[in-house]
Amino acid sequence: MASDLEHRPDRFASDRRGFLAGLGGGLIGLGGLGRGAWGLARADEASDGADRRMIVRTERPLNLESPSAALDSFLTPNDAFFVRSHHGAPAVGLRPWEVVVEGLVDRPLKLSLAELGAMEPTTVPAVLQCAGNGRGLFRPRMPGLVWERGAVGHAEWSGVRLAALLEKAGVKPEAAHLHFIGGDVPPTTKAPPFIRSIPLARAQADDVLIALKMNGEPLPVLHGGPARLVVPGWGGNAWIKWVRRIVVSAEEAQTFYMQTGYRIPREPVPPGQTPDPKSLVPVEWMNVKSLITSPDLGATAPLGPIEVRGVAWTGEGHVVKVEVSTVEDPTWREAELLDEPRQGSWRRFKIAWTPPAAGSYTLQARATDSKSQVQPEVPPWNKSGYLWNGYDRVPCVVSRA
Amino acid sequence: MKTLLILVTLAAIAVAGLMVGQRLQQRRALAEAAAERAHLEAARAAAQAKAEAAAPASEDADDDDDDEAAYRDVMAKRALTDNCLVCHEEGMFTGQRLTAAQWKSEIDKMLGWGAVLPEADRRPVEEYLTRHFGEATPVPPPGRAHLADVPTHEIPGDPAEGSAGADLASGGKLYLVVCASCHGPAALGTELGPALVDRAVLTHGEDYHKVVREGRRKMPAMNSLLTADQQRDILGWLRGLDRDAAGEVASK
Repeated sequence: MASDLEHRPDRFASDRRGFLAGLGGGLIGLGGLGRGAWGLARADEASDGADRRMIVRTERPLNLESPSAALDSFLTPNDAFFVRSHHGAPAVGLRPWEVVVEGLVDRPLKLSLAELGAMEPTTVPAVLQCAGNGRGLFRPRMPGLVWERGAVGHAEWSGVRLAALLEKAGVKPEAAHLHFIGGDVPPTTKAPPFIRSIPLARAQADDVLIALKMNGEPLPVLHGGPARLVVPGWGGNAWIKWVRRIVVSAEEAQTFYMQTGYRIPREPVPPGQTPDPKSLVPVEWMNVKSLITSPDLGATAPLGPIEVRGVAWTGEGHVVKVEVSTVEDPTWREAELLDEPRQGSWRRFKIAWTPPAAGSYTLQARATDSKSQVQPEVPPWNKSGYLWNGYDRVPCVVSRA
Repeated sequence: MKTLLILVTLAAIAVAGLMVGQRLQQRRALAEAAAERAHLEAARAAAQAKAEAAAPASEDADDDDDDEAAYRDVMAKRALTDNCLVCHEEGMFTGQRLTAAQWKSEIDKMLGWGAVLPEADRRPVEEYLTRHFGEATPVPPPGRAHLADVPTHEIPGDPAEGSAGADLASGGKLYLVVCASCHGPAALGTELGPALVDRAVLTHGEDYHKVVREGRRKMPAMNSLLTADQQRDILGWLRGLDRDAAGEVASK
């Protein structure tokens, strides 16, 4: 087991104390992200009875979902962070890792990890969410991994600005897209390699990185280490893992995972319908979404005020409001928002809820972002099950005090 | 001239390897099939005897249908195990709930990606998936585990373990003779066996050696064919194989 995946009992707290400790911090603005504030014990972590074990979607390739109780903190610990790939991690360590930049450039580059590490580092807190997070909640169902609520996490990514690499290489005027070739190997030569591209304009933005670290640790191989692309605000499909080669090109990648996979209809289609491929566009910006992280699904609490906590994020812009209600009494009440509004990052929320009587309830949350996008009760159906952002719903039981 | 000679020799070695590999595979498949048939026949006979003893005459037809369905299930599951679990484990389909048309289209997609499913097995596999993992089937709760307890090769192991002192030249030659017929001359995979170059298992020498020694599903046990040193030589060679160079060799 790699040491970077071991439990870090001294570091991250997903319990209430960790949550409260973050309140006053204004953590993000402080450069070093107030790391000291996270030095909290996890002794009482299990006291709420929540099951924080990962949800195993498939073992080979490894696809793990985080339980929502494990997402109850500003930063998601590396060993509780969801894992997703199409072909599984490659063998890392057989030879020195290198990142090549070639194609429409004046000076092709071949950089070792040490050379990348010596460039000016940048750190960005950002939400990574699988484009298919919530696929299992769409009806009618569609093929694909049945992610429900936890193919998402928030980490502090550190590495080299992609723009700096491109400056070093000198991009030719006709360049318009960057193709990323990952190290994962398809099982046969007929299965498509995971190659996708992003437009040059997005690649040159200040927040786009080739990350070498995650939450201050060397980027674990399960999360794309030694080097992965970080595109804050965009779906995980753009965050290519195990980056080996970057090819600067005039065109979008003509690959399966660019031209067929990860495309959604520009305009919503009726459920069950397959639209004309020409009307599809790549999944890029995420949509606005919230997730209740406490109470846990199916939890029981005694009658009395209950703290409802969660996290909310969006693609472009930032979250400005989260509202909470129950299915039984759908009167929305605005929750308190924590953490700095910042594109690509998530904000925690909390609100006290006092159930009127003992019984079964379903809590629900919806977020609104700075572009006035509101989380819908049910999002438009699409045949691949991308970008689910319906109200987050958590059933729970209130017992007599 | 010299190059030509080398090429001819390599080709001859590859052909010999292909023949050895295929014969081994055929022999194993035949033996497996015979064992499976005997097992099924016994189960079927027992079920039939029990049914005949217990059931009134009017229910005979139903029991025959049940037996038939059970038999088809076993055969379809075997086809899935043999052909689909080369690249992924069964969680890939047991967690999904799809219509007959959706399962058919998933199988078509996988066949396009290099999966092999004998024509005779296609309908039974589609029916099996629809019967057990159709829209109406309830979804059992997924498995839960802390990351440290998840069995996976994707967290790298020691990239040097198990190949110290390997003779790489010998490993390369042996690979072509013994392994290339299924895993491809550049270890990029074929319909018969998955890619090996740069695959995570290469950093887990012990697991790699276990599969080579004992075989796995369609892969024959190599212990009778390769000495421990030879198995180590092949691992050493695979670990040093450069994927880009391998790809270029393969495309020529």
